[in-house]
Amino acid sequence: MFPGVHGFHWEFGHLLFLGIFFTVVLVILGASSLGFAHSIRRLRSERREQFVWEQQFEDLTPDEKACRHAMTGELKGRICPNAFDCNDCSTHASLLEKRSVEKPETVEIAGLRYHPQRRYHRGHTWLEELDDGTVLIGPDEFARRLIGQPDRLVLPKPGDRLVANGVAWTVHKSGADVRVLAPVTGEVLESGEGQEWYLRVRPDSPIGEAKHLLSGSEIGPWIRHELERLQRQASLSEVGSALADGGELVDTVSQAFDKRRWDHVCSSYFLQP
Amino acid sequence: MDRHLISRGLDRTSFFRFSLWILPWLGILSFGVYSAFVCLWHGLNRTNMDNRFAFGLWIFLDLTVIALGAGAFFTGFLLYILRKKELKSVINSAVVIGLICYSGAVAVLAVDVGQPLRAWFTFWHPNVHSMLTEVTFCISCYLCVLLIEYLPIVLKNRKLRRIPSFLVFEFEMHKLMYVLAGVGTFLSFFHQGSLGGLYGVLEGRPFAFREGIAIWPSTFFLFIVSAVAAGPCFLMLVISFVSRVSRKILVSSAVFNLLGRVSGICLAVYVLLKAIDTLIWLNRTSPALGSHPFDFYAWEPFGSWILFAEIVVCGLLPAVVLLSSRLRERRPWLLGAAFFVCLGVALNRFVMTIQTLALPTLPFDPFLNYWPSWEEVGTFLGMIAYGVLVYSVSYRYLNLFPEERRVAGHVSEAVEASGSPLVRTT
Repeated sequence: MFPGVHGFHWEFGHLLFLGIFFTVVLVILGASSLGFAHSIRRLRSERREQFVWEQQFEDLTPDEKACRHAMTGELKGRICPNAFDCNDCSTHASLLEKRSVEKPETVEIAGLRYHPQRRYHRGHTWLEELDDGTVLIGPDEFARRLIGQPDRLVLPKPGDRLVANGVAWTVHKSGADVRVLAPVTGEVLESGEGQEWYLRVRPDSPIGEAKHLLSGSEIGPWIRHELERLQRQASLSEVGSALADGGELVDTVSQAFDKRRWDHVCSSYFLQP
Repeated sequence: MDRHLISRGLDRTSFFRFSLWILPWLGILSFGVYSAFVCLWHGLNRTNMDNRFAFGLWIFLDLTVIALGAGAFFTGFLLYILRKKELKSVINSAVVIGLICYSGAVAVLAVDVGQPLRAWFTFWHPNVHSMLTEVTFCISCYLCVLLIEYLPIVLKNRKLRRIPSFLVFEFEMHKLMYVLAGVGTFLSFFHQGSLGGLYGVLEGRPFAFREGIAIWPSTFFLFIVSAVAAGPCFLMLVISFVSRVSRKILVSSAVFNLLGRVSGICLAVYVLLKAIDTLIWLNRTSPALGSHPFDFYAWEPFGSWILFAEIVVCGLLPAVVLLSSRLRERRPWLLGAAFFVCLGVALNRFVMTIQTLALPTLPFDPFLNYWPSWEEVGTFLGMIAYGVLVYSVSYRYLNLFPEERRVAGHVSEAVEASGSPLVRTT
């Protein structure tokens, strides 16, 4: 390569200077190419959606990344280190063992009703298993009150694939574009816009293996945590003071925020950095 | 109208007000582009430089911004190589400042070369004995490094990050930052040094000529150390200015404290080296070349006050402030010291560039006067406007300060929750 440089001579000075220069050039080119090649490999891998979620999770706020056991009071101030994937979390496993067997009950907080037979995703979707092994998926009560009547709703078509923590559907409301995370991996069988559920899905694996979903006694603390966050955000929206406790969440939450803050609020509860 | 492009949780002014801010700068940039075009079209005779006064306002600008832009490589070095994790909150801003400084310097150099279409000659016909060749090579490479470092920051834009490929690419590139930080440090070390070295080797100019180690004159090392001291100071000044204009806390005081301390140590080393270098030059180098050193300071306005201002006012005093933990904790003192450090570096580059060329070297030489033409001033201002615009756009649409959202969150938690209209009584 060096002889290609005009006026090159096999001298120490030429060799040293050009050697260092071309080494630097090669390092820069090599590093960039390596990054590019790794990106392509990762994009082609099956874990693409999971990886994207992990990256998004990194940029969530500590409040949004709070561990489920921190919300129940079992651990203090713990931030989830596993992007809400509790399957391989030893802390989760050990804490589950300590829990007593509980009788499922309907949870109702601030007018939000959570059913005992459903499991909930931290991105505010619910999942209910049917007898035929398929599951119904829909937005939870908090999400319904938050969004109200969507301006636009884009659901996947039957036959489309869902990936857990990938995009399930998108909602447009008052200028905010929100992507809602899928609670499980599977194939979409039916979409049910206008009903309580949005999608009927055949999951790839048994629902019992989806340990990232919340159920039972975890739901109450989680919803209280979300309501507290919402109260805090609203207290900064320059709309004056109102009742803090003892009421029901209205179904026109979007009207309490200006457009800029509304966008932020939506992103916060649907875990969209 | 552009809020979908602004990172979530970041509070930015309205698009209208932002437009009002950038419009004047766009006007100045347009004037700068026109000035540069005039120089390129008609030639360098439109400048007030000549064969004797070959370095003018542009080279002074280049040397100064390259020194001030050293915050990029030095912050990267501290963060990625020395693992000073606190600096994560300013690295994006440092990269943007570095990119602005280096790309601006290269753009101005392209005009200064006079024949930018022949810029590739320096790569094809390199003079391996020239400090300028090393500077050209290193700056070109480092600009590429800065562009690669800037790319992940851009790809983290709220809109762009929704494209999975960009998010993945950003992640993969971020993993390589350690390599790029190492390369950047290596390149910066040499080109900062060579910029100083090219004055130090001017044996025909006793005012600038210096002795040194092996092939490197003392100015080689002085330029490196002064840039390392000034880079973090300029970074602090920019962040403080943005913080004041936007009325937001962008980084914690601890980070400023660390930058100030590091800068103070480097500045103290620089002042010591500069003092030794000046004493050697006064007592040995200059007399050996047949010149009485204080004759150089007899030409007004370049009196010995410049030397005093450079070493004491802009060197020793800020170093004392930056090294004192008590003074460093007072923001006005810290920023005041940082300002004087940056001023000192600019003064040093001015002295090396303008004073060196203005002073007569032979008994029959006159003292040369130089005043830049409007085309030179226009190009200079255009580069400043370019920097302001790039930084403004980056600040608005990119997440330059990862701590900003967290700091804002803490403030929000501190605000007493006085209730909200989100609940209705039952």
